Amino acid sequence: MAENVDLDADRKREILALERALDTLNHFEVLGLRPGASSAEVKKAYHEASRRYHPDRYFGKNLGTFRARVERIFKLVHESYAVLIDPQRRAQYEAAHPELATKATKADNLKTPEDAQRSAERRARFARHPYLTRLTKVHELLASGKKSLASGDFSKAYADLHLASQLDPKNHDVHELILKVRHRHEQIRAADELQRGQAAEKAGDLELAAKTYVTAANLDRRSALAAFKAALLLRQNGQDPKEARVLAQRAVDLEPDKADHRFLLAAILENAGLAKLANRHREEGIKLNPNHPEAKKRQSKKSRWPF
Amino acid sequence: MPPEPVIGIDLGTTNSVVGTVQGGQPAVIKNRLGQNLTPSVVAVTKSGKQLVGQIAKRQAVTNPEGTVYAAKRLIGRKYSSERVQQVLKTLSYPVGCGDHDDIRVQLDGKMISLPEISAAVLRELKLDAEAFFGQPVSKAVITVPAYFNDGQRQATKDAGKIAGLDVLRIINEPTAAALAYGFGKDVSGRVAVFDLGGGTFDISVLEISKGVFDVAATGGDTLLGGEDFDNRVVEALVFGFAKEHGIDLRKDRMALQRLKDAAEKAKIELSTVNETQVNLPFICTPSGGGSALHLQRALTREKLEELTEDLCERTIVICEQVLAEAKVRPDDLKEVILVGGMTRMPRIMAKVKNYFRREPCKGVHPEEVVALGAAVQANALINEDSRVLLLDVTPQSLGVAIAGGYARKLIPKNTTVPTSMTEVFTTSKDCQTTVKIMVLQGESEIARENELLGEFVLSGLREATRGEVEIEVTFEINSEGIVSASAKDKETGIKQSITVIASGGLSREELDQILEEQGGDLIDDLGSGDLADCKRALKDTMREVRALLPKVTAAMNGSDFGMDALRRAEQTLTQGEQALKGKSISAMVASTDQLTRTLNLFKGWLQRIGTRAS
Repeated sequence: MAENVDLDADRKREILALERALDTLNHFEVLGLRPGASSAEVKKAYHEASRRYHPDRYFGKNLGTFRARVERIFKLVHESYAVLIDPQRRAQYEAAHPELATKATKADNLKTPEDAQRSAERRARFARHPYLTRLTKVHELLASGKKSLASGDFSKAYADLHLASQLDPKNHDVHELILKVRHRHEQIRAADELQRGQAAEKAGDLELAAKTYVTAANLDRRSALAAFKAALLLRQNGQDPKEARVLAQRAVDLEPDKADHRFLLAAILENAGLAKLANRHREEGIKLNPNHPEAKKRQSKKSRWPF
Repeated sequence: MPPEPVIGIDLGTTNSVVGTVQGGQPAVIKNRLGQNLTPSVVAVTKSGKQLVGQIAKRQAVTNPEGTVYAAKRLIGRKYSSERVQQVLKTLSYPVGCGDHDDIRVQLDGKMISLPEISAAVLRELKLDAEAFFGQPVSKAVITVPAYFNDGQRQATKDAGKIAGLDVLRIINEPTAAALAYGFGKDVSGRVAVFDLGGGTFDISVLEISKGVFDVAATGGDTLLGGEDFDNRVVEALVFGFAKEHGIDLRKDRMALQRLKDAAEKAKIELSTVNETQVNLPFICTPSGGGSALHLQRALTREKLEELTEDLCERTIVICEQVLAEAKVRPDDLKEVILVGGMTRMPRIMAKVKNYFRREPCKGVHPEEVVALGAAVQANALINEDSRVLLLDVTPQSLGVAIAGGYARKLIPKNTTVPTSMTEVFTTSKDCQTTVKIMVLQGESEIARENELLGEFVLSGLREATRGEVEIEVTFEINSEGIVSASAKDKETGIKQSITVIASGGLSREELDQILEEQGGDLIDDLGSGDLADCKRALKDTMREVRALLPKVTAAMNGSDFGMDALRRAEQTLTQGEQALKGKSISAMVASTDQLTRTLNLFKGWLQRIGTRAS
């Protein structure tokens, strides 16, 4: 433990404990599986364990005696996998270790009290194993995160998953889910901001309204309403024309059939000196809604031919 | 300072490619001529200049004896082996036998080992990479055909070392292709890589799952590739010509080289057109006088397919074997990836499509994908955050020789490394006190048909009837692919072990010697060309000045003016020595200039004195 190597203390502890425990673990335990796990689970667990214990993970690092330990762990992980993935070898192994095979079929229906005791001991030992405990914890957090997600409690789901990802940063499932949750979470926040913005607009605080709309649009990039409102207010307040143009363009991209969006974009483009582009959007807008006040204004302007 | 860049090198039979991962994307590094592919050709011109790559290939026709191509087919092999003898028949450059049955190429009057030839190509690629990054590059992953044995891998590693590279890992070409294919994509499932290159054929089956690349099985033939297809065409042309004129063109090295070039070109053309012409004017002059003969022949795709049908078929037979070993049916595969220029041949494509019952993957560039994959692996090893992990396998079985001349496998092929295996053996004779452990690599049941990697003796066994003394033999392959073997007498606990350092044709001493020689005469920062020329010029001038010094000293006879000039001459000579030790071209050129001036001065004096004296 005192050895000065390129590993953090947690990692060292984990490797030491697992290496010490290796000889007492059965093939399922080595991979962190329960007896009776399916081939797909075996394969997944093997790949997961390889990610942690393949010596290439520590390439070019000073591992001292830990290199031999890691190699030994990986060899056993691979050996366990090789046995469990090959139907023939697995059948042989389960025949030689009937307690593992029976558990697969009737997990809780143990024959004798001794059996039950042994199984409990095994499970307890199993649970103490640091790599496995961490893995179980990650799995628990993942499950609870999924549950919160299903019940709509996104902030709780986010907290759980965030913790899980810190425990096991390379876990792909957690990573994917966390992205999804973050996205949902942001959508909800965007909706809140949008409401706040509308309230502020009603109250007449246009500056604040513009700010909250922009925040909402940034949080949820798929909300056309937020983008439109933000662009509109920015234009009215005469703030940041570039940002306004981007937002207005986004509103048009998201909902190209809204005449309002078209006219807003046209107006902003015109101000920016892009008359041609502005005209194109304006014509689209007129096509979409000829009765729009902007459209009428435009027409009346057109009829007033200057002499 | 940015971290030192790492590169991946596909050292091919006909062409080599270097790649790197930049900004999270693997990319090919163009050579200094602006091409992605550098021909794996090394030549020494009549004037003693070393050429590598495209320029070497271009002058092959006029310099067949001094141009080495397809060195990969010979690297790490034994001179006496039957297959090498077969290959030698088709080569246009002279090849000899080295001290330990290794192959040497005769170039410019010297016998050069194959790792040195490959090193010249690697050095060129290294320089291209350095030109690209603008900083020194030394860390590289190099690929070899999956079916290369330990000796061939070691020889490739030696080549890297000679070229001044720190070879992080030697990986298999099909694996590299799969790495490049799966990199950055979230693919999961089994894929097959069908790699028919210039000299070798490989097929590998991998399971990809979220960045973990697990090789299930791999196999191939190290002497089946584009060169063999070319040779079939050459044979047909030679045969036709012999029938017409009664002359065997193979005896003429220059004609053979022209034939090879034309055959390769015709073969490539026939991948896109149905018929092509082979035109080789003035191919030979009959020995009895008379006008020169021309070779002119039309070649159809059908004819090419007929000539090479058995080669195409062999690839599929090997595919069947490997898929059976991986316990995979063609239907279970998610994708078939084609690698190597030869997979452009329509007949090969059709065969693959027919066997795997699907359209092969079109998403990868067959000639560049291997180098990209090597770069991905180099990056994965160096970069901690990489999600890529390669679980590679041993391509061939490892075992020991047992009584009766048989081989007993300890680590079967396609075992994921690192791995170790222990088995108990017994003595085979009464009162046997020593056993010889011979470490073998190969699939044959007969010991001598396998490659011998190393041997050692365990002695001091108890005298007993046969079968009583038990010896525990352990084989181990670590993650670097290095094999070690140990044997233990179970009773006494006596132990013997070796780490197998396969000889790639070069002994340790020879390799050290080559590396040392290079230290003195390094062609490091410019490769073949300028620096060597500058050095030579400087050395020559220095020699001339030194030769004149005694004469001048005598002629000056202690005059003040003369002594001063002499002292300055000595100074310039010391400067020259220093410039020679360094690698700076400008210092050398400056020194050479100064020395030339001194030389002219001396010559002038001597001339005047000489005329006065006479």
